Amino acid sequence: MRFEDIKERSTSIMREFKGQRMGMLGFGIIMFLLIISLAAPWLAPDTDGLWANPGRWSDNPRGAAPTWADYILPGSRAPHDIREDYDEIEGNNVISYHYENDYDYPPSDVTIFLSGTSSENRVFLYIDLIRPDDIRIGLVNGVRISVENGTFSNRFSLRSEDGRDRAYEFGLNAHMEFHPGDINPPDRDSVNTDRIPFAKRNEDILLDTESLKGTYVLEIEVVDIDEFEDEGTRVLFRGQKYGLMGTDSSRRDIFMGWVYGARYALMIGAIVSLTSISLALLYGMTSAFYGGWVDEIMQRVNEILLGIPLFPILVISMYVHRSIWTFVLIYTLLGWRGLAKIIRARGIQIRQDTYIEAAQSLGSSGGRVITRHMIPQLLPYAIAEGALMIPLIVIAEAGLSVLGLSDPTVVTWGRMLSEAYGGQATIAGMWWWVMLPGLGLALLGFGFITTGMALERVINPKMRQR
Amino acid sequence: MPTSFKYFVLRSINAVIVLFIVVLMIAFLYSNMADDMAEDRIAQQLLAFSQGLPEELSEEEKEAAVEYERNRLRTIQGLDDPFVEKVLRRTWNTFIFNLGESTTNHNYQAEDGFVTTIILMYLPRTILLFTTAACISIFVGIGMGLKAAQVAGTKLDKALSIFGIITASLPMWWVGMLAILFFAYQLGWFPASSYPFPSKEAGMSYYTGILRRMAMPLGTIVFVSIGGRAWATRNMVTSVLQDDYIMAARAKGVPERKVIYGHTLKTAAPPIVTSAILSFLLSIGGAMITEVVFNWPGMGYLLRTAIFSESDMPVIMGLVYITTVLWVVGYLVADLLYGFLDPRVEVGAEKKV
Amino acid sequence: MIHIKEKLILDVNNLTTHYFTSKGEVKALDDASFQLEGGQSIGIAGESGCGKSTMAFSLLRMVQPPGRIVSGSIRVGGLEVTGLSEEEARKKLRWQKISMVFQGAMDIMTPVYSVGHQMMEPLRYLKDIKGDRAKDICFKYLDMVNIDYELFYRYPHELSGGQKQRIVIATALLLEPDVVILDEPTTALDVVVEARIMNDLKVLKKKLNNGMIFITHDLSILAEISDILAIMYAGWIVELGSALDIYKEPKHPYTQKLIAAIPRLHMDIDRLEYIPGAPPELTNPPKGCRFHPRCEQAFDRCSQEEPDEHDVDGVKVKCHLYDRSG
Ligand SMILES: Nc1ncnc2c1ncn2[C@@H]1O[C@H](COP(=O)(O)OP(=O)(O)OP(=O)(O)O)[C@@H](O)[C@H]1O
Ligand SMILES: [Mg+2]
Repeated sequence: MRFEDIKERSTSIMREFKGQRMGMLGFGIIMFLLIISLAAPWLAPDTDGLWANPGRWSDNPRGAAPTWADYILPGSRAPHDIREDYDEIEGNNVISYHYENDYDYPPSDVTIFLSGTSSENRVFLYIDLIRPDDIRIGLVNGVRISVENGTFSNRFSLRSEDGRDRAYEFGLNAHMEFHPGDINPPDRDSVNTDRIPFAKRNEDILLDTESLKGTYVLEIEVVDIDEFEDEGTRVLFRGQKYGLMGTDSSRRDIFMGWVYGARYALMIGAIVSLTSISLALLYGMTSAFYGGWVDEIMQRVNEILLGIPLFPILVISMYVHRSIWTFVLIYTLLGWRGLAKIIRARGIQIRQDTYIEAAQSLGSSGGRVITRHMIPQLLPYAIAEGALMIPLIVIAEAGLSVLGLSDPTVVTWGRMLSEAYGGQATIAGMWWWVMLPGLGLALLGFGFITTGMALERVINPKMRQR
Repeated sequence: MPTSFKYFVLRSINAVIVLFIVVLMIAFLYSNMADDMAEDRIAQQLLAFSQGLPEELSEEEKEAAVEYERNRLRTIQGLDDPFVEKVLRRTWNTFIFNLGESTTNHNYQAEDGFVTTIILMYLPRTILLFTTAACISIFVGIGMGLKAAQVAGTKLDKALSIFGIITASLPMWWVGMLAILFFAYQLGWFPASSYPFPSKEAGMSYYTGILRRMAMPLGTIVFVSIGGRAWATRNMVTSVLQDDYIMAARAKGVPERKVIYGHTLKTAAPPIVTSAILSFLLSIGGAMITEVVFNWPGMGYLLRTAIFSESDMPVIMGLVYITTVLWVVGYLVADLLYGFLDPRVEVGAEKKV
Repeated sequence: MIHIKEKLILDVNNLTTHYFTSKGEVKALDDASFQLEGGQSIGIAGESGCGKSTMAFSLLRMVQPPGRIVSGSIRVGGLEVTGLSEEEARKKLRWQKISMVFQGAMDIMTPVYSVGHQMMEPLRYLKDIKGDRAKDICFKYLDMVNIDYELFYRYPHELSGGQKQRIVIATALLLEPDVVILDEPTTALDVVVEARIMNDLKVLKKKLNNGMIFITHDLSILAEISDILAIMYAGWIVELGSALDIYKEPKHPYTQKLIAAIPRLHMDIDRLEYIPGAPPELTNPPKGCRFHPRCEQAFDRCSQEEPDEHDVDGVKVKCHLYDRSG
């Protein structure tokens, strides 16, 4: 095929495409997703391959909303606050952190990492939370920590069993004061203890907390410590909001997953659709070009293939081997059938037209019919169909993930949604976890469908009347 | 008529061939995995067998007995047969609905562990949800599409087209999740989960319970599919409306109602009907996943449960086979309807979609 | 005078039809007037896109949107057409007073109805004639166009193009309308079939007493079949008069070119004339005479003023050359 032909046709298609408003919008969306997915390693470092590794995400808050939730929903949320340095030190063994709670939703958790040196073979740890109402909650009361080789380290979280016990004790105390006769107060596991340390001390403290605003002091004392080590000593006031897209219930940053979701979606979609349209072109054009019994046989075969359902085959093969490559292979093997049929029909039409033309201009060889007429006319059409195919591919992959058939080594939007379903995100109202990965699917779908339709319209002017 | 009967027979034979090929493919894919599972089961049985042997036997005797038992079990399972033979046997068994027994029936609470029993317990719920949704979506969607075609180019028509394009690019089950967030979590109108499913003994409240649980999944499927249906119908109708014979009919004095519901609809009917059926068949997968999201105890939910139990190959196989059968039958119906509706289709002739 | 009026079956006056597209107003038909008496036939000729079909659709009150009759009047068999509502046009005008054989015969029949069903539709919906009576009427007309009754029971895809066209013609005659319009009835057919159908039409014309309107871009066909000739250019009727007169002595420069362009048996191919240039865009036609950019005899005034219609020996010509007043 002559290079000029293709160049000419593609520039004319491109020029007309620019006049299609919806198509341009869709194309913009695709470009946006493409840029994000190319930048994925920088936007989301240490994400690919580490999605299922809890250690990677341990510093994050659990189930935090996106940062911008404050702008669209009532109430203010505590940000994610990591303190590498203490605010005060008394002597060498008491450090304290000040926390200004201005938020309707106070920190979801406080995690304290300690490490230090001591010449003894054990130290004792005391942690108190001093509230704005001057009540002091003893979180840790002289827990013994053994020292090895002159160093020790420890970790405490308000969400640990001990932390929850302390919070519950404080809450129960207050509850009994306001409900003196209550012989059957709610037990620890039926209340949300996370919020109690930062809650107003009122009659509802166990059931429906209200944030107590003001300055909190977290005071940590280690008896017989020589020195706190800067490296290992820090406090996380875990936020109620985090990053662009919040976190899921396993602390994973949804934005980072989203970025890789875009990358894998585009990758899977592009590979499957490109190979499918190549196969379809090959099959359809061969059939149209040779005609006769070759065409007859190829059509019968395709008719039988067209009767094969894709979904069950995908399910069984993904079950046998859970990998995106299984998906890609199977989808490709069955993805070209319908398109091949259309390509053949159009190819036959083109062949008839060009033979009439050839009869006039004399001597148009078979090869020329293919390269000069069929490919330049069919390729743009196949590309448009390929674009329309991509959303179906990506949504199929996502759907299989929700059934539990995802590749455990990669992050996809579907996998994130499957985890959202497994983590009961809908029932718990964690809308960001449900909405944002799905929005990725919707954006991608909208982008490719509008682009594909605009392309179709440009290529096939008859459709413009629609 | 003999020609249409011949058409019917030919198409049916075609369908059976397709079904057989698919089952063969599936059996080929999962054969090794099924072998591994059978080996595991035999290993367990042998462990129990060797522990149950009489104490007084010597070590050699015990070993010989175990060896004998092993061979016996392997022969029953046909594990040492050639690969081709195993694949063909599995194909045939599946083909005749001999689907075997579930390994984890406690998950499904069926009367007995036979895969057919389990599937027959879940299938009707899928059919209830899916066919109701399909009927609403097809009838209302086609009606909307006809209306839009009659007012083609107006704001209403454009709005409908955009609605159709956008909803067509959405994963159905994700819309379901959003529906739960909004209507169940936020507004509390409907139960967020269909579990526990009402039991038949409950009398009248059995039906109201089902209706309440069905509202959201049904609404979701209809919402997502209806726009696309309307849009596709609209496009097929408008393209017919542009044809010359419609103009000719109008000129001949055919009343507008007859032009639309006679000439236009009758001409557009074959592609409208078949594309409606085919796109509904294509959405079986999406609908099954939608069931999962709502915990609607149908085939999709059963499938996820079986997949998560990590070992229940027979149930998965059975489900895959049933879905295939549903598809092939639906495809056949679409095909036959096309031939029935369009006088241009004759036996063996190319159909024009 | 009154007597002449009685005989008129078609009276078109200053008919103007435009298409209001997003790219502007397409002036497809401007200020057209002509008359037709019973038993007469008029041929309308002109290049592609000059508004012939637009004229035909206007007569049937069936201009396709975004087109609209802007002004003028049409009387068919005593009925004023332009003021009719859609429903009145359907019930009183179409097929009973005026019927049409549409251009492009290939898909002129609904593929899912049998030929018979479609033929009987006008009888059924407009005359309430059904069943065997309707069938008998259809057979009568099938006879006239030399079509075997057996085709009555077939589907359109089982017919050849020529058969289809004959059936369409028969259908147009069914209600014995005052005027039958044939819009390029034979362009989709090969030459042999075309000739046969034209012959049949000639016979029919003699046998029946309707007025006929033949539309074509091929003047040679019209010579034998039309009494009156209207030559159209870019939305205008530029010459109107007796066919014989016009053939003998074409007046308008455009008509002269057209007639010179007809290949004749005893003529050298290279003496065949053609008209240089292309017809104008009708959204923005040239100022003055619409033909002047292509006209060899054009002078200053042609690009300035729109010509009037001049009566030259009984032929109406829209050209400045024949203006005797100034
Ligand atoms: N539906 C329409 N919308 C807009 N413009 C139209 C429409 N139909 C016709 N036109 C324009 O009106 C003009 C006259 O068209 P018309 O169909 O009457 O030509 P014609 O003389 O019948 O040509 P042909 O010999 O090719 O049939 C053309 O310029 C055409 O582009
Ligand atoms: Mg025309």
